[in-house]
Amino acid sequence: MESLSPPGLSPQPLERVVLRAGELRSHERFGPDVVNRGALLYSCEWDSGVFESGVMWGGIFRSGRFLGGVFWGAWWLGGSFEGGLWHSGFGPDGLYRPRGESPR
Amino acid sequence: MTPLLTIFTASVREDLARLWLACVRRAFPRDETLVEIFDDSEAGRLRPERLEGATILRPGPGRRDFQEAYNDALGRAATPWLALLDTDTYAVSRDVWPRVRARFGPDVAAVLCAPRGATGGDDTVALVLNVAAYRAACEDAPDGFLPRVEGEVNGERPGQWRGHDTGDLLTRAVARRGGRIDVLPLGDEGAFVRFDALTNAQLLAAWSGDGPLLALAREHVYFREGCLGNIALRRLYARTFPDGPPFSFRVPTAAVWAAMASGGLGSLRDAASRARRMRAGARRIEKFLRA
Repeated sequence: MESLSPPGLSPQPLERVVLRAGELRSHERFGPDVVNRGALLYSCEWDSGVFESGVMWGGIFRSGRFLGGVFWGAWWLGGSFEGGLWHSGFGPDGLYRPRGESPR
Repeated sequence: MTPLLTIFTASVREDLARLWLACVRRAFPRDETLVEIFDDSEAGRLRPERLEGATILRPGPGRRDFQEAYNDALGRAATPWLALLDTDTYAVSRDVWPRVRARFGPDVAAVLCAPRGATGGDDTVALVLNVAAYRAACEDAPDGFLPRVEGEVNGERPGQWRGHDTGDLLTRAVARRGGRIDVLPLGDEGAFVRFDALTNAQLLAAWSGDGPLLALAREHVYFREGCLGNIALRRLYARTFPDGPPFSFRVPTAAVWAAMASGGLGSLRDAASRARRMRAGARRIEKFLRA
């Protein structure tokens, strides 16, 4: 656990969980307090956090920001895809979206 | 002789495609078959000069990745039959083609040579299909071979969904139209040597590092198969293509076994058993290629 807020800018710094490169997380649910910076998420559920880098293999992206990393065979239900590689996955309608066809 | 069959595969990896093509070229008569390989590497890694005898297809509109490339292959096929054969499935018998061809008949829509088994459903690992029957069924399954999600699985573990795997919807549509899916388990009979998860294991190592891949391999048989299969084929590839380029799965053998050992005696025994099977498979491939 570490604080992502610069000291002195917030009266109550938001404590966030940061997932790091080299980590594997399986079948877990991640909420708004989580930032991924390189971990492999295997069949996990992502809800409201910030995905900066790493790999999302399978699982469900419910909401949040996808800024970088690899989205691979997972189900995209909502959120904003702002960067990274859409390797493959499914849109909110359940239909397959091929490589490069991330939801807008 | 007019070709009767197009053999299609998609591959991210040139090394696997070379081994696969060497087997296909020996197992199938050249005057009756065409071979196509879709380059799914994104970077144009599949070099035609190292894959002689096959047409290399690059990504483009309508075939942006391997899933779409199946539909594209069906739409383009100039032969009455189309074989989808994964690059982790190696034909090691000249009996494959005569055995499959003997099953062709007016009511046969496909010959399924490697049934999925425990997970049920249809499969595209080694599927020889009637082009006309599958094209007609696309009217009922307009997304063709594409997979689809149906809904969430509200179980104990988060992140799970249910759906249809590649080709399932289309093959079911074919069957509903009266097409017969003939099961010919040539894999079980030894005509194919099958591996699993070879490319996904390599991609995971490239994108996540060796550590997360090996942690997954400890927990999940699928990735264990991928790591051990790559080790078995790495030696075979080096012997078969000594001039390189090197095999793309770079995870050290010792690291894989250290990971298996850290999972306990049961994990180690399971891995040892799988590795023996895979080494035997690699030896069968080599024997076939050198015969």
